[in-house]
Amino acid sequence: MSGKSGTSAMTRLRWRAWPLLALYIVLLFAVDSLLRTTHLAEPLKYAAAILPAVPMVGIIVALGLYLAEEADEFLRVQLVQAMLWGLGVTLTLTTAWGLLEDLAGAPRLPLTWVFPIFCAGMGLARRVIRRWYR
Amino acid sequence: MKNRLKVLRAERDWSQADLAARLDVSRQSVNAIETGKYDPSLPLAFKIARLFGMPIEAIFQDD
Repeated sequence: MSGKSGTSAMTRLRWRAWPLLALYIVLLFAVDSLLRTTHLAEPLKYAAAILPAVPMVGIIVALGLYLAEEADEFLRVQLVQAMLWGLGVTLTLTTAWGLLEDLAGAPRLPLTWVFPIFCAGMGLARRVIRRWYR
Repeated sequence: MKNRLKVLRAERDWSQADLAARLDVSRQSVNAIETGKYDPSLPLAFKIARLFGMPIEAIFQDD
């Protein structure tokens, strides 16, 4: 059922999430470049600025679809645990940094970093969890 | 929760991969259950019991 490449649900997750991640990065740079060089009217500017959020939501939907489609309960549990660790890391780091910003004048952390921090925390946790269960 | 999965599997000369294929789960799942790191759900426990032709309590014991 699960070889080196994982289950069919895992394969589908990879095929959904990686292109969306690539699109997120491309849109982020493209929109940033566009808004720096072109003057757009307010509603259009907001619409362009929020565009990279669309593939980001897609990645979250892909994770949800994986949890719905994965037949192996143990693999589902592993992902849920990794997501909880990712959430814990994100809440801890952003709250701690917020305190540093508000109380100690630390430089502002752009909110666009929240999702990458969650992904990094989840990815790291996934490796640790896999190793622990081995 | 303790279990006799490893013993029952060895008695049949099955590898973890063999058992995983029979249960339609990943090999990691079988390993995690055998080592007591993961307790299977009731449906999977019933599936395991059916495969070995035993009641659940003959395979899984509460600590």
